[in-house]
Amino acid sequence: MANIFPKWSNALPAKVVLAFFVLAVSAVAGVTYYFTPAYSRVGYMPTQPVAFNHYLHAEQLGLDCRYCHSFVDVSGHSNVPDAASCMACHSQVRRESPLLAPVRESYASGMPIEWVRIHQVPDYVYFNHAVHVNRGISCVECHGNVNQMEVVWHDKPLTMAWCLECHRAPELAIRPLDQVYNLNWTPDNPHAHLEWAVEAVVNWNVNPPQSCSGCHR
Amino acid sequence: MKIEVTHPEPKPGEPVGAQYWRSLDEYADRPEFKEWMHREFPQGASELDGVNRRHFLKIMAASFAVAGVGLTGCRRPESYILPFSKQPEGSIPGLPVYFSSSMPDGWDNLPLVVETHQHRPTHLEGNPLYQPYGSGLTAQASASVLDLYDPDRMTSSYRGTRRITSAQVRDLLQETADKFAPTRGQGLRFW
Ligand code: HEC
Ligand code: HEC
Ligand code: HEC
Ligand code: HEC
Ligand code: HEC
Repeated sequence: MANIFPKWSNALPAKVVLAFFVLAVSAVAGVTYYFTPAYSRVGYMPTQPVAFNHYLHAEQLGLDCRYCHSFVDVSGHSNVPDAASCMACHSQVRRESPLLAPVRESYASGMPIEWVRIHQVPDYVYFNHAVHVNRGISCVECHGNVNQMEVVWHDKPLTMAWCLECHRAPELAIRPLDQVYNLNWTPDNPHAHLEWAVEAVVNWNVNPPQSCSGCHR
Repeated sequence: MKIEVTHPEPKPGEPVGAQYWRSLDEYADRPEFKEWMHREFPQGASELDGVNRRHFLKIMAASFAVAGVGLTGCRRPESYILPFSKQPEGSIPGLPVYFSSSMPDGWDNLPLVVETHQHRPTHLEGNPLYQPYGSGLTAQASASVLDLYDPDRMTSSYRGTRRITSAQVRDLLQETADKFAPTRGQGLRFW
């Protein structure tokens, strides 16, 4: 009797299993890469109604973050400046610039400029800026080097795991209070700084919550 | 005995079967009604030009499939930050502002501390500076903050049953102020 199945079909089950394995691995890899916040959030850079440039204003002109985000160290919410704070300068500088037309319009009409929100935690998470900033956690830890950005983008994933990573080891992120708004700061001597930081965590009684109710109130 | 009823044969053009009418207009069969009917349901009105229903469904199915490829539905919706045009002084976004106020009830005038968020009152407490009540408050007064958000609340000012503008209200208040100015408010009561 002739062979019904040709010889190559002996390897078929192994090949099928292998193909299935490759498919499964690439599906899992694809989902973990493309469907998680590290991919879906980081790099989010919407077009803003006014081409506001942090590099120009914060780095070159040397404005402190708190000149505009003026309540970041007082309130849980970090405010975006009103049109009047822009007009403090732009009623003198670049008064005719078409790029600033929405600002002038907002200042005249009283209607807000519609900035597109970039960073956002879900409603079920409690977040507080003042608590972090006043304990030596700099903007750069959570927003990246905004002072170097011409257009702000989402730089950190802002996931729960990411929050907890710092809450478990705050000494790796904490810095002297006078350097919180200096995003370019790096310690001169990393070793001595770490020693200082470990002490500071104890002395300032820094105690970030790791229990669920700390963030999910 | 058997009664045999024979209807007269219907004339050609006369409708057969039971006749129902949906409105008096239809019963009267007036020409305006006929025209209205024609305009409301012209022949084939529900079909787009050149695309019938099946074709339409095919196109929609295809466009949903294409929309799914981009997974646009899995992205966060865009939201906006709307700062003030000119930030009012003394109001910090994210922090409550407290005002002292008072509220008359049937007994007397309750001293209050009002908590506001973004200029919206959300909570009432008794004013602790008024010793006799020691920051106490009645349940009714405490709940009365909800009255502000009552959907049945008046949305404009009235005098009697006549609606008046806010400019007129200001005039009225000015009139009252002038009237009571000589007595420095004696005998005036708001409630
Ligand atoms: C001259 C005013 C000004 C200064 C100074 C300034 N910002 Fe901003 N910032 C803005 C405006 C306006 C926006 C909203 C438009 C945008 O996102 O580009 C903004 C947006 C942001 C956002 C994004 C907010 C969001 O949508 O989630 C971050 C983060 C931020 N600023 C951080 C900083 C930091 C850190 C500094 C200090 C280095 C700083 N800013 C200095 C005006 C300013
Ligand atoms: C401390 C003063 C100051 C403040 C406050 C300020 N700016 Fe500026 N802005 C400048 C200067 C200086 C320039 C650069 C002008 C140049 O390039 O010659 C500039 C340039 C700009 C430009 C580019 C204009 C062009 O025609 O190229 C935009 C857009 C702008 N600012 C937006 C804003 C907005 C929005 C705010 C408020 C959140 C703001 N600025 C607040 C000083 C300021
Ligand atoms: C510990 C992390 C952390 C630090 C430090 C931090 N931020 Fe944020 N920031 C966030 C998170 C999380 C959000 C989103 C908050 C939300 O959705 O309510 C945010 C939102 C913002 C926004 C947008 C607020 C809005 O209206 O939606 C601005 C502006 C901002 N931050 C500025 C700053 C500045 C300026 C500093 C430094 C002085 C700073 N942040 C430091 C985590 C941080
Ligand atoms: C770079 C470090 C760092 C990151 C990232 C960070 N935190 Fe914190 N957080 C701290 C420190 C340090 C404290 C402790 C402050 C204290 O003890 O006063 C803290 C305190 C808190 C508190 C307690 C506030 C209170 O009122 O007691 C909350 C809530 C909180 N963080 C939420 C978050 C959330 C949500 C995120 C992520 C979006 C986050 N944090 C990311 C460092 C961080
Ligand atoms: C440091 C603050 C923090 C603490 C502590 C914390 N969470 Fe979260 N949690 C977050 C943030 C931020 C998010 C939003 C994550 C996102 O949007 O990707 C979140 C999201 C979640 C979600 C939604 C699912 C998800 O992954 O988006 C669940 C469920 C959750 N947390 C449960 C818990 C439980 C259970 C605990 C206690 C063991 C806890 N959390 C403690 C910050 C915290």
